Amino acid sequence: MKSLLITGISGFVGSYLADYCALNEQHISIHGFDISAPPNDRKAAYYYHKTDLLDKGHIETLIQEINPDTIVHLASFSSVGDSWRDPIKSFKNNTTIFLNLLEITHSLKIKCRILSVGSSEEYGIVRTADLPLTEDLPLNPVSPYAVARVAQEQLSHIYAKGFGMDIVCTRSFNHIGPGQADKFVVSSIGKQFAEIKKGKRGKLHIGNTAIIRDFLDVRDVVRAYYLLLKKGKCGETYNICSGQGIAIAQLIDLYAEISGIAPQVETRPELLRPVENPVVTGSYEKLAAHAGWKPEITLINSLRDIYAYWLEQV
Amino acid sequence: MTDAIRQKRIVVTGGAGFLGACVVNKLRERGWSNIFVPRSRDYNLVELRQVKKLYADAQPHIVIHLAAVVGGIGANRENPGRFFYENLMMGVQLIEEGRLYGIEKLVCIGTICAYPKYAPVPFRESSLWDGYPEETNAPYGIAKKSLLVQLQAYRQQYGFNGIYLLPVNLYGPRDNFDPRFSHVIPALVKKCCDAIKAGEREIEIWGTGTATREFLYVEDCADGIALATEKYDGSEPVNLGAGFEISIKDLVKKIVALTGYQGGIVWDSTKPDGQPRRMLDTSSAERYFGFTAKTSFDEGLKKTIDWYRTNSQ
Repeated sequence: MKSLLITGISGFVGSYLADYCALNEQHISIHGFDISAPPNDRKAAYYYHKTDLLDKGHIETLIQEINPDTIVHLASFSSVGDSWRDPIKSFKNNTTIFLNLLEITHSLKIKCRILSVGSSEEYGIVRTADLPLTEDLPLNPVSPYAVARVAQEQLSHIYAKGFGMDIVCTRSFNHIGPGQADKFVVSSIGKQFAEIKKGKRGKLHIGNTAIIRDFLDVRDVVRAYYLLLKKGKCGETYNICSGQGIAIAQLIDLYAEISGIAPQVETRPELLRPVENPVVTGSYEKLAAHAGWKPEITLINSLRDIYAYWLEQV
Repeated sequence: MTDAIRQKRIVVTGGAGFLGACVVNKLRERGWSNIFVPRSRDYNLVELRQVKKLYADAQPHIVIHLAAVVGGIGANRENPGRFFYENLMMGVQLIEEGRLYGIEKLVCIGTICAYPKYAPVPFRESSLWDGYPEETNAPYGIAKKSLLVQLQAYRQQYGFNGIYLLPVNLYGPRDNFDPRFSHVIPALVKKCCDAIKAGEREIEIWGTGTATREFLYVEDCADGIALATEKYDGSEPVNLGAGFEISIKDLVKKIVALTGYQGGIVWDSTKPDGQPRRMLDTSSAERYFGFTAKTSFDEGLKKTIDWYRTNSQ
């Protein structure tokens, strides 16, 4: 890995991935694409190229100049909720930016490994008997966001098989960690707890607390991506998950324990989704077998770090 | 063998400059007694006639070519043509006339501006030709890099002994502290020292401070050049570096602590950081002629600050 390109580098995962690769690679040049500038307090030093992945001409010029041997595609409109509010924008963006990337690297004959980051949302409505989810299960996406993710994965297979491109896919489950935007549930609850603790807020606003999800710390996520770049098999798809399910209600209990407060909880209709799985948990067996990965950061430690982060921010 | 070589007549072009003066001192310390430093007012090396005259006058066995027309970002932007022409012509003629005159060795000093803009860090000599240099510095960098091609071609065709060294960013006493031309260390030293003197409570620094750099103390670089002159006769270019990198943020902390500046720092993140990382792989210099930098960064900075304080009155 000598020339790494990360799309969406200014996002939550991008910063962590750049830091991880800078620390673990002895001879590397790191580049990032993003519409927004990276945070000023970032640790790793890398080339930031302000660009929109929809701008195919500009991306082509940049990729030709950078000549990456590794690309991690993180850029996306990543909120399922937003994909319901504006399906056209979300769907078009997420499929077009990935196609642009594939077309450009293919037509320029850039020899590189691409990690196509997808989502557990691709599984859609799942049967309890199928839990924890394994990669071979049929996909049944139930949001515009998830359908776009399935398209991205299928396109990866087509380009890998049809043109011999080196592409590895992931289905990444929910990530959590300090620095995540507060539109994501674990971050949002952590922020609200911090605000309540500091007397800046009354009640905890929440959607459906019965749902059970598989949450993985972002630092474990980026380690998995790094290992897949080294050891993942071309054309294969890997779950990135903790293997553990936890209900939102239990998360609230854990935050209460960490913060030492027990706030009043109020369910807000705007935080509920039209279609939602009651339970999603994944199996990381394949990732463990191919890349030697297993999660290292426990859920309670993640939540402690998230809560500490928000205490400083609010 | 090294004792015999120190009896040779040696010419150091650019020998009165920031690095050149240190190289001349270092050679003297090591026992070289026949050193000739041509001044640019006497020998304009861009002119072929004057290059010939230099060889006739000095009759050298060995030439160290340090002379360069350089400048900061602004100067590079304004004079790309002059920087290309003069750096190229000085070097090309000095090497060709040296071959014709029959010198035994030529030591050419290149620049890290010759590395491709996006070379993987640390920069390895093998990456030199993997891409175009950063555009602002390219005319200067490529002119200097052409001399490497010339030396390698001359070695192949004529058996000419020319070696090529690539030093990283230098710092130390007698550096250029003029804010229009200065590099990051003299600029920061001046800012802190001047702010203390003027009782200012805030200094402004460009960028976010995340970029990292490597700095080589000028006397260590002179050591490396002297060692290579005596011991290295290979065709491969060799990096001269200190082997560490430091973020601009940490560099500022060090200079603030060493100068005793008590005021605040304002980071202007709307201004560019420049290249995110710049550091050399220094293993070849150690392998080929046993060079490693000796001066600790704190010690080098302290000497630089002391020099500025004594000389800025």
